[in-house]
Amino acid sequence: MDPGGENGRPVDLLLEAFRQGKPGAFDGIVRAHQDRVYAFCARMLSDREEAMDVAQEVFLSAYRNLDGFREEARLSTWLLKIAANRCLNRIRQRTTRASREVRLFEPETQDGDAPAFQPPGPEEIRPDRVVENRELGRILAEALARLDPDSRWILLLSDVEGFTNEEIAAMAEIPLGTVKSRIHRARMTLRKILAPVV
Amino acid sequence: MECERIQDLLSDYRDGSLPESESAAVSAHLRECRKCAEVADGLENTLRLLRDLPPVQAPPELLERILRETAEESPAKPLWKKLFLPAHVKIPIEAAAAILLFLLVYGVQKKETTAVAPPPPAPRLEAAAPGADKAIRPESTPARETMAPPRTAAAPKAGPGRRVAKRGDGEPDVRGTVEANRSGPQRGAPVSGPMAAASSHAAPSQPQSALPVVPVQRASTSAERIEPVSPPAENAGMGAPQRLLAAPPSRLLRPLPYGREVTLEVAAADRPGLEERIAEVARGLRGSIVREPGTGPADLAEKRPFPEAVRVQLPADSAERFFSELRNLGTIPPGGVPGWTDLPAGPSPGTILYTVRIRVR
Repeated sequence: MDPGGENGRPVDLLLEAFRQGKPGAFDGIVRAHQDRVYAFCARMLSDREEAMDVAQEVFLSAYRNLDGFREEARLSTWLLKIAANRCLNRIRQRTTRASREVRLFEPETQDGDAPAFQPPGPEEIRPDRVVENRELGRILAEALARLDPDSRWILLLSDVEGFTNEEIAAMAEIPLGTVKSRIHRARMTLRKILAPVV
Repeated sequence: MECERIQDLLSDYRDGSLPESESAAVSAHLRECRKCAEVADGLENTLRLLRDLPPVQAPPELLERILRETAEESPAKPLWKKLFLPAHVKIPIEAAAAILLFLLVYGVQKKETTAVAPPPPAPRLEAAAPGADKAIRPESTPARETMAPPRTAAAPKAGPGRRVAKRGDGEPDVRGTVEANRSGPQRGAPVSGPMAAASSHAAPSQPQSALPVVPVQRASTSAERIEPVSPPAENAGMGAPQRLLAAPPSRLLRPLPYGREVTLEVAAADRPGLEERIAEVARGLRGSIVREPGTGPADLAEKRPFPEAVRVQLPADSAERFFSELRNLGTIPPGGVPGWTDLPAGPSPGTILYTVRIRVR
């Protein structure tokens, strides 16, 4: 059972339905995981369009290879592993595209786009907290973008997505000690970047 | 130096993965060192910011794009994927199939090896008359008469006295039958003793007219040529019609050694010359001594190195008299004659073969 589905449906049932060729099963899988995958890609790439491209690639890859998914890990873990690899490939392919990057959590534009992020709870509905949260989110997104890609993805998986060190070691196929040291180094680097505000 | 070491441990300290003593040391240091305490606070605030990152929703067009792409691809699996199962299903099935195939091939090969076991070497007859030891050689037998099993096509058509059909090159047709051998006056004569038991067991449900059936051919030891079995010359010359023994199908596939063993106990005083007396009994019944490989007529005369056994070949109808004569020479102990399952059939139709083991009391 994978409780990660946002619609509350157990994802393994969706997976089973997909394997049985039931129509709409893959739609359910995408709906259950698209926000998490897209958010990870957006934070990794700091570019909405690229994040959407990569998220689309992740789900298409899953669509073609779900028969080979053996459920040794959760489906969300498998999808985020694909997403991490695709994002790192994208970043490596970047050469002179830094100027094209659009900050993910830019202030709302005048033409009425959806807010860049939503307040997490009722307390934050207060206008002053919304502004504060938006500002902190923007600062944090910029700070993450200044991390090197390897530090960024391991920090996102560990401290944003909530994976354990063991899960990350299995996902990245690196030793547990290496995972711990990389996480610590990434945290300390991010702390230095955010030092003026934290 | 101490601060640097403490700061390296801050992540593990915060995650609670430090040993208790080390964790206590870090706590103590943070209470005393303001600089390290500020670093620890900054780390904690950073992690809280990461943890509290606002959720991000995927744009609606992402789902549309994905569904459009997957709809353009074949909704069903590609053909090559339909043909091949996933590895975690395929590998156990293939392993089971390989094991089954191995067991099948092994079983068939074992069965075939048993079925084509080479027959025992053909016993050579040493007839009373000189030169009779060539009797079973096919090339030295002018007229070969062979019997066919009743299931062969030629059997029902064979008339009395039908001779073996010859091929153009003079090679005998081994499928031919000889009806004369089974239509003699003694065909229905009652046979008692071990022979009767054997013949009645070999073909229990057939009428007596269908009984006289023996294998018409046997595989040579080289297993490369078929050597038709011909009756010994001395049997061919016998005036009395031969009684043929039915052979079970197993003999066709896995020939058994001919004959049966008979134990004859004699007193020490009667031992000298016993082989010769047995040979005389056999000759008196129109039989012969079967020479053991490596021995010649001279061995029989000198009784050395004559084995402690005498192999005799007799006409089929003289078994009872042979046993009577043996009892005159000595004693057949209980169990001296094996059970009826041991066929006394001889190497040629109408003959029986015994191996008389001599035991001194």
